[in-house]
Amino acid sequence: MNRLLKNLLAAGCLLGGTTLGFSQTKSENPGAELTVSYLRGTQKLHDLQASPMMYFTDYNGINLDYKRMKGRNRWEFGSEAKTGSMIAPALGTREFQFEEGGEGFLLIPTQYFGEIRAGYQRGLIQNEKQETYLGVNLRNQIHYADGLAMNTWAMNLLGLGVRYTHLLKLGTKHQILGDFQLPIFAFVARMPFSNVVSQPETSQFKSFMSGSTFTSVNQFQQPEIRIAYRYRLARRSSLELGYSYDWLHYSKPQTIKKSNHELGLSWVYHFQFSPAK
Amino acid sequence: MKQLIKTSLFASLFVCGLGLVSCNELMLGEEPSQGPVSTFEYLWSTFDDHYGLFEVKQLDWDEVHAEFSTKVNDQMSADELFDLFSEMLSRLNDGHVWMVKPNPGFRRFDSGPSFPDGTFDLDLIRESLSEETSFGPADNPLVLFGKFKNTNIGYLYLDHLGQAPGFYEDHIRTALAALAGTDELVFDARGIEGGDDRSAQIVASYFAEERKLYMKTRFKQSANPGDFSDWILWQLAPRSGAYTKPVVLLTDRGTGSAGETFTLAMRQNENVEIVGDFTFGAFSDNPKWELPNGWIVAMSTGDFRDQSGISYEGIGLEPDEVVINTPEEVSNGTDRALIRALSILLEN
Repeated sequence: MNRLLKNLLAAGCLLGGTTLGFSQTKSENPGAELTVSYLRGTQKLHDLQASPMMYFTDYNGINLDYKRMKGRNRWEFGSEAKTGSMIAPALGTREFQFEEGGEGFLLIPTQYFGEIRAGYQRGLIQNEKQETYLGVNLRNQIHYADGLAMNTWAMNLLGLGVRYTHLLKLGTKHQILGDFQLPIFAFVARMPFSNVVSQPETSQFKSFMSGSTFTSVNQFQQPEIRIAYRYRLARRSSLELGYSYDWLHYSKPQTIKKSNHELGLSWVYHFQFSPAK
Repeated sequence: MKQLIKTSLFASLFVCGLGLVSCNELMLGEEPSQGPVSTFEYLWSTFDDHYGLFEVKQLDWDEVHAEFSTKVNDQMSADELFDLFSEMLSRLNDGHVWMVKPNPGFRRFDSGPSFPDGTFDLDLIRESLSEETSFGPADNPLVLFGKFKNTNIGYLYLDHLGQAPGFYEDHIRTALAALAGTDELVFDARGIEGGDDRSAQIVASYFAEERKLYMKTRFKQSANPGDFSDWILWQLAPRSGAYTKPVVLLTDRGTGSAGETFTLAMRQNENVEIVGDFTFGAFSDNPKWELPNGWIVAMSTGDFRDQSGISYEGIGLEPDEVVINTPEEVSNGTDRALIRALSILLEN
């Protein structure tokens, strides 16, 4: 009898705790979330300013993202850093020498790239099944590689674009997220037609950036889509698996086309809870 | 049923989308053929679009195409193609144009003139210095300075100008502070094969008394013939602690590229006299281009002139007094250019 009472008490506590936990999940919304992601992707680059051949970069990276949600408003600030080796599949691995009879070296450039971003979105639909948001995103992406065709290769893209996000809620633990963004205006800095950046009494970075040109979506296209699945592990944390694809096209001083396929595994920390309305 | 149709449609669109973005040719464009004819056309047109010195060298590149396009065919071996390209690029006679073919069978071709090695030996000079300070590896210093034995004449040597400008700002200031007590100086630029033109500007500015234009540069900015950027003006910018006492600058055919833009700048300083041989004669920056077959070629995309608009590409800068060392003299322990520099300074 004593044992039955104990079991009943334990089951009751468990049920109560679960109910409490469930009700907390339902009745509280996180006001902010911090996301840490591991990124793994492939970049395909065809930049005629650098080479007539395509270069593939299998890269690893990390992403840090902070999101603040209040009512219909969402603010987001994030940054990414990635790196990988660039290989031209049609050329294979090439060994050069500085001079005949000299020591050989493999020409495998390493690319470093990353971004910082800030965005604002306003909720269009917010109910128990789905949420949709529309807003703007300001993003700066920088790329640098030393040794691409034995040259320094660099590109900086500062873009202001529209961003649409669609969130499907499948119960309390599962979410599907779709995201689309498109820069409308951009400042683009690329290596000049001569492939030389040299100005007296000016750093090369400053000279390079001073060559930025303003452009818009009719000349510069970089759409990006992302889909992700999120699983709520606990009140304060979720796990997310996402896939994103972006494609870039710009024609000055010579045509560049670039695409990225990227997988991201993220841990999301939810905080600043407030009661649901 | 409606839900099933919706789901199927979405899945189909997703699969089609994935197929679309996976198609490299559609999303990224086509790569050129890697055969000899295609590679020849790519090499020729890359020079046609980007090379900055056709006007200076008075070379008709279309004529070169007419001559060499008949000699190329897709049955050529890699070595035959390399020889043909080398012959074509030799028409440019440009020390900044070179081409390399990767291993196996690495080959390098240099378009510019070649001059005898061994006309300068730093170790020979080090024997005659009473005090010596150096930065970098002891046997191959980046910067070396000291004083000639039994004189009050200083000596300053730079291996190259390839470090960032801040390096030279620090080390030249340090060197000139140490040499401030000397009456005259020999600046040896015979080892400077190249580097950064901004570094050259800084070093030369440490010998300047006034701000002066010494060089104008411009770069190709489109494939259209003669379409260059605006002139970029390079001026001496005097520094505190500048050395304004008499200086003899030693140059030779090993003084190239940024070593030559440095010499251009030093020519504007009235306290500087230049002794030695002509400089190499290759001023412009020379970025590299990749050919479809994986070879790499370097070319001059700029047009560098002195303050009056004169180009010395392919010619080199003439010293105030020509004294040409031979390798035999140097190997026997005689540096006639240095001896002449010291006698000029001792006559002051």
